[in-house]
Amino acid sequence: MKTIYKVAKTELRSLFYSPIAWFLMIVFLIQCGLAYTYSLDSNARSQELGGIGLEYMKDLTERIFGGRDGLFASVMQKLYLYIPLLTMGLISREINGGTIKLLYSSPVRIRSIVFGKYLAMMIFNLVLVAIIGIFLVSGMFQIRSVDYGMLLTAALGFYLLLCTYSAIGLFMSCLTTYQVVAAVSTFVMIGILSYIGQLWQQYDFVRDLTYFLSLSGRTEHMLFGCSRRRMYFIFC
Amino acid sequence: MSSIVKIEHLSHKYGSSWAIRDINIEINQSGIVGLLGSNGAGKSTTMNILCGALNQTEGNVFINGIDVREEPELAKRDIGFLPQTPPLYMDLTVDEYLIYCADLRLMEKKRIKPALDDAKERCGITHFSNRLIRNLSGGYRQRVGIAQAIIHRPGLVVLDEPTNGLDPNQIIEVRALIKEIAQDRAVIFSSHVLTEVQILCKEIKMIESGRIVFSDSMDAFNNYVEPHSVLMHMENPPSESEFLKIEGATKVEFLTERQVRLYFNGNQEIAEKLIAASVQYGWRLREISLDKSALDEIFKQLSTKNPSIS
Repeated sequence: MKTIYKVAKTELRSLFYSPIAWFLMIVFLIQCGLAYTYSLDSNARSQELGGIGLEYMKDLTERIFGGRDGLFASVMQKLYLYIPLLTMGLISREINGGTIKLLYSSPVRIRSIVFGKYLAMMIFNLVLVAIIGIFLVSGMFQIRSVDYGMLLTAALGFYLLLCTYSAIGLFMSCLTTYQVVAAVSTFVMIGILSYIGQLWQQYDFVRDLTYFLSLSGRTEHMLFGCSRRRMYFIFC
Repeated sequence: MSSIVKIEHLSHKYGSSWAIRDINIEINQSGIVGLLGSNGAGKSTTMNILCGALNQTEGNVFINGIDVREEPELAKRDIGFLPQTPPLYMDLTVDEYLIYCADLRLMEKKRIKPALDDAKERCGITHFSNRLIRNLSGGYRQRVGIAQAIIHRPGLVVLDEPTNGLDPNQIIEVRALIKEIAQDRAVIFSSHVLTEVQILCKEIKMIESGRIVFSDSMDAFNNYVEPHSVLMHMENPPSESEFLKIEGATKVEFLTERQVRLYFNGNQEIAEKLIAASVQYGWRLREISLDKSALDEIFKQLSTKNPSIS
């Protein structure tokens, strides 16, 4: 366990010494800000217009955070662009730079190295959740009778999705020494897992198989307060 | 006494071609053992397998009697490895990097600080403790690489061409450092430079085309093929024909006006005869020595001794 923690610590250090982590955090913060203010603005406009539109305002938490144009849906649509940039170097950088020989010649298990790298990504993902958390806290002040349970479940779903993407990225990073190839492969793999649920659905066998593999739709359930889908992410 | 390193019938192939074939090495004591061979001979492959950085195709490696393949964590505790390219994290400072290496070698927390200070002092990098590795010169990066290999005080230090790419001053410093490290532990050191192995090692294993072609002490290596030429400096050298009158002399080569290389047919008394002739005929001999460059010939001979493996 100590080795896992040390590997994670060094990985996080490398991540934050490079500009990529900081750059992505800033871009993510801006994206969240834009999505949140857009969602808030459109709902405020509906409220001002009054009339039949007010009928839909009763689930304001869901409309601002969980709806089709909500914060989470908007942010998650572009999430696949962030994670490959962070995970591409996890293992391939070690292989390319020769530091993998330091790890291999040390008395540590391979799984400790892999878990250490993954732990680093899990911690970094918490930072992204903390950024989105700023807007959740802001929403708590701006929405009367906010649905706390829905927000927490949505944040959990968002975190699990980040961790799933990270696991895919880590795996892809193990397969190649080229970081760009690792990033593109992760991007492709996330794309395949997102769209596999829409392919050849007329065949029962394929439908059953793709139901378990498909990424799409899993998080949406959690955005609306259902936490049953978390097992999928844990197995991923 | 069990040996520090025992390699039995070690073979490894990349794809369909064998990189090393049936290597057997046993190292029993402290000191420096040289692994000599030309580029691509199989030195790095052997060292990588020895340190657990590569899984062998066939054969066994034992460190202190522990099989590296069966119990890798236990066997690797007593190894320090510097690969051909030092395994450095450029974004870390020297201290951060060495502490991480100590952690990876499962050192107790209380032992890390004194070990860190000791390793830095031995490698002469104490004044760079807080400097980013990225900002160090090649020579100092190499020193940091050596420091990570010795920080946990292993019984066996494996250095893969540690003087590669260094300038002459740095080479001298790194050689002195290796000698110091080897005082209380076994060091396996690889190089393709014969003179370097001659200077540092007391035992030599020569690999060529993936096979061991020579394994003995350095003295035995030096005597393996006796030099067949002498170098002389004379103030008044005679003509070529005069030299060839000396019994055993076969060929004369004038390097400069006063410097001569004389080839002979193995006659052990050639030096005495040359001195006697010089005194007799007034050649004014100032210096005479066996031609050490002939050792390169040994290297060449051994290199071509074994047919290549496939």
